[in-house]
Amino acid sequence: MGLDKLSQLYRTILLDYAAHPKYAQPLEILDQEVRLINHSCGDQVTLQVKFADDEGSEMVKIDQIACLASGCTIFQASSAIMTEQVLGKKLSDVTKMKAAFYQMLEGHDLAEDDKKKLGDATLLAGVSQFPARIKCAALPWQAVAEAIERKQEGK
Amino acid sequence: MGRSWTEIREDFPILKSKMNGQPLVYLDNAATSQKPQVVIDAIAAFYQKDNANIYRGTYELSQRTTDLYEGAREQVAKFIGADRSEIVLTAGATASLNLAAFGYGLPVLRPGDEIAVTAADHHSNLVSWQEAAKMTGAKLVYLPLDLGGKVDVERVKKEQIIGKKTKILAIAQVTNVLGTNQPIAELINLVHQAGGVAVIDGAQAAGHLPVDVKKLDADFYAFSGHKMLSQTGIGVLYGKKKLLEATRPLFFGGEMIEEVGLTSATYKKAPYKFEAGSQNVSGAISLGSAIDYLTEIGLDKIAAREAELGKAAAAGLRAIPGVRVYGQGGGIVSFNLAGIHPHDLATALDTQGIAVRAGQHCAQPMMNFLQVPGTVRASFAFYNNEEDVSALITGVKEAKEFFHGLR
Repeated sequence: MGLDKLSQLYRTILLDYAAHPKYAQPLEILDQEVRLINHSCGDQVTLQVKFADDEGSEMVKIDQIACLASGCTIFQASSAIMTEQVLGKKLSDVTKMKAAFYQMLEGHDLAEDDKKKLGDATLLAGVSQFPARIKCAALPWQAVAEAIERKQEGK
Repeated sequence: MGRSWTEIREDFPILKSKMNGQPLVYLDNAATSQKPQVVIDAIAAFYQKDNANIYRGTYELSQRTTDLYEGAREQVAKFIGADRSEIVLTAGATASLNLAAFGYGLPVLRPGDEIAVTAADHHSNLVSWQEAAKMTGAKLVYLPLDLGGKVDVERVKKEQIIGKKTKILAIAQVTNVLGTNQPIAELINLVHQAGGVAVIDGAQAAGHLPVDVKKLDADFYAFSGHKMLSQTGIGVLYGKKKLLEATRPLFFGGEMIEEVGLTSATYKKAPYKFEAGSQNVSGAISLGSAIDYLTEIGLDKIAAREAELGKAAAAGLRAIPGVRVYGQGGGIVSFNLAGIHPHDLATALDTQGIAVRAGQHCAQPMMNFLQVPGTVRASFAFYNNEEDVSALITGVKEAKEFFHGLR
């Protein structure tokens, strides 16, 4: 018990993600910017997205992304993984991924198909054992979902 | 010689429980305190024997309930050296501070007036006054703090920061992040010389040290019951009689009125005009019971014990390389471990059964002042012990080894 449980959460690979986010450079051209703050702990994310929609509205994809995140390890790791997983994906797929990710955080087992879609985001499954930290893992996905929602509402 | 701290600890049943399979080490007392059996019993006994609505019944049971509720008001008054007519029972310190800001502040503030606050204050104090300032055109003025978060009184005097324009001073007696005991007696004196009024947030002070509002000469004094052994949803706003008369009620309805016509009504005198609707009777009774319990131990002894534990924890933490202690006052210690986000450290402690708070502690301006995204805060109560101090220090060491081992 104790630290054993902790090692299920803080896996080395997550710490790597947290320390070396690939997409943390601000975009020069962007369509949406979403800023979210977790007020209880101070996690802050500014997510910038540029969409590619030259193939018709059904085929809109995330063309470029930047996630400027400052906060705890879980949050930083989740931010880094999210950007890698959603880049180049269709918006409808990202929405499904977010739903699957939330299911996972709530402790539900995922179908193989969903696991495949989420890729390394499934490394965060251990967060479901730490209810106080679910918000940390969820925040970047909430940000990307909000960017998509705004795009779809034509804002 | 009263009972030993070991015996007193036995009064708190939750301290025998476990968290994450480990014995619970509860170090989040500044967020809410645990409850002794006598308080829990008082609440149960009330519902088993005495429950009716107050003021309204024409029967004996209701009269008994009313006596219990008013008895609690009397206990609160005695506890802080006030008269019972000066004690408004509220939902908590936040409700009390909002009543001071919007019931008293709003009608008296004019454009250009100043409200003196500090960056070390809790959002419940700060944000209420921000809103009152926005609505009236008054201005917030931040008092200078030294590195320990304490108001620099000399600078306040020298630069006349509290002056003719200061209508209100709103400040915590003890701050919630660093446990700083502010020099409120001096500040109250300054604001009175300027012709202003002092609103003191006593949420971290009441129940932790002796409070005498008359000696302090506070104009308003707010605190919560749940941070001093009673249940949530009950709190107090003390106000000087004249000031309470000048304060407008924020809630209107049953039992706060005197006479009601079709288009207007007259209100009861303070404190009753502030207590509209059915009140939190079990809360008041639990507060009265907590006051009896605390008084029996002695507030001086409690203050000394909490400071003793807080100091021991701060010393132990400082001895760990990589730990930075931002401050310690009373039972409160705020710190960080280099390279580890406070939330990650708190989770590592959680798995070891240790409950601390991590983050901004409802004090974002204070985090900016300390130039950190957040801190870990351990807050000790008199029912904690040296083993809890050791558990925290060992817990932080183990967390440090764990996180460093991952690199």
